[in-house]
Amino acid sequence: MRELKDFLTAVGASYEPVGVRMNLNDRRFVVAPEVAAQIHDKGRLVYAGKLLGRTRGEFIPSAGLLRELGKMQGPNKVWVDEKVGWLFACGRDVFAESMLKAEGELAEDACFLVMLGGDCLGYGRVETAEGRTILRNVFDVGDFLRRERGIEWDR
Amino acid sequence: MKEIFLERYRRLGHELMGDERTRRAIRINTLLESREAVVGKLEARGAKLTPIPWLRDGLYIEGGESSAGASFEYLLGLYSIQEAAAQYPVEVLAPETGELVLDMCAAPGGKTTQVAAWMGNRGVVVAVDVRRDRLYALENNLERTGVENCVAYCADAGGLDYGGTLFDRILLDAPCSGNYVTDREWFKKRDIGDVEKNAMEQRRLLGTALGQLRQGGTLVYTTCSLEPEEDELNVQWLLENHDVKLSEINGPGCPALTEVFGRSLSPEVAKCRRFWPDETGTQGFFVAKVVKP
Repeated sequence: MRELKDFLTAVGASYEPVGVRMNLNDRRFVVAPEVAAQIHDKGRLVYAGKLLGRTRGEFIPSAGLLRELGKMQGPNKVWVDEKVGWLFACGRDVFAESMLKAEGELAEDACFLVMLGGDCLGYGRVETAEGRTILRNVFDVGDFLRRERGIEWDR
Repeated sequence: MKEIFLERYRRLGHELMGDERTRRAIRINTLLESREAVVGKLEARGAKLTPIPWLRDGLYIEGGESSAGASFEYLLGLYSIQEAAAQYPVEVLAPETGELVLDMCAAPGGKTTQVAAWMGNRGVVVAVDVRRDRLYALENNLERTGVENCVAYCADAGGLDYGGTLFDRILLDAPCSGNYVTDREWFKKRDIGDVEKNAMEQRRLLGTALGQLRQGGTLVYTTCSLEPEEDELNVQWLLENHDVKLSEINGPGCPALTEVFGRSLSPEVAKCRRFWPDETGTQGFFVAKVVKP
């Protein structure tokens, strides 16, 4: 999974998925052996094990992978307060002056996880716009709400 | 149609108004954090939480800074919005760590993620649904709540290749007529013909489920229909046509009906559970626990 490695390099993380690697269209999964043993009809499979992310030109990590990386020491991270965190979860970028703390160098094109306390809300890429350093939103957990629009709720 | 259905419920002993509603409920996702931790976070945001005594992880929720479906905690997968009665079938199924579980009509996945939580992400949940449009919601729910032991298929559960696997437990949350408590337009959309058509499909699915269940395994059959044709009469059909036993469910709601529109059913059917909205404050629901000897 070249794209996953590129993402991990950009975010400064070291991570090796354990299990059977599996691709379903643009999605990348890793599946525990006992779960993989129950796959007998791959043609109709739509999900398996742990979703690592999607490849849409670049690799977009899943919420689960971000959750794991957020708990690890090493990846680039910025911390924000609830107000900035909510704006980020609504798809907005984060300005450098809105960051409470950063671990890692805010270098152009570096990727940073956006943290609210111990929880990862998504990640962005460092850019400079009009002389200001910003973390351009690439993925945030508000994506779940955006996906749910038009999808039926559970009973 | 409203009067026809209300009259049927009257004949079954319940004077319903047709405008009963249910309280908003959530289910804590114990895969990611403890119940206590999530409750603490939500209460810190001003939410009033009331434990639902007959559910392991269910709480009624009121108030708070944001709506239950748009909070950090929801987006981070720490809870799901799931009506109280809809949480009960998995409590009855009681899946255990390491088991093989089949969720036959799984989308949009509220119960699938609940099964995975009960199993602690260990063992395997095979989730199947024939409707691709509803499976997108299931996939989102699996990702959001951190489920890692599920394989999901877009297929009719009766036509899937299981590779010879027989399951320890099967949840059949069958497609049904639904009920008016969670759908304000329900009376406008339904007629008795729908009920009979659904009942036939449910029997087909029940037969499929028994074929995939190991000996000694447990099948939980559930609907959110108040119509006996989809509930007690299907269980009666099961008893008459398959070698199965019913396990008694002791919990909320009341024993299932054994007299239905002048027809006497096996006393065994009373081991199943029926949720009447006027009694439980939930939507209508029916749960049967079937064991394959």
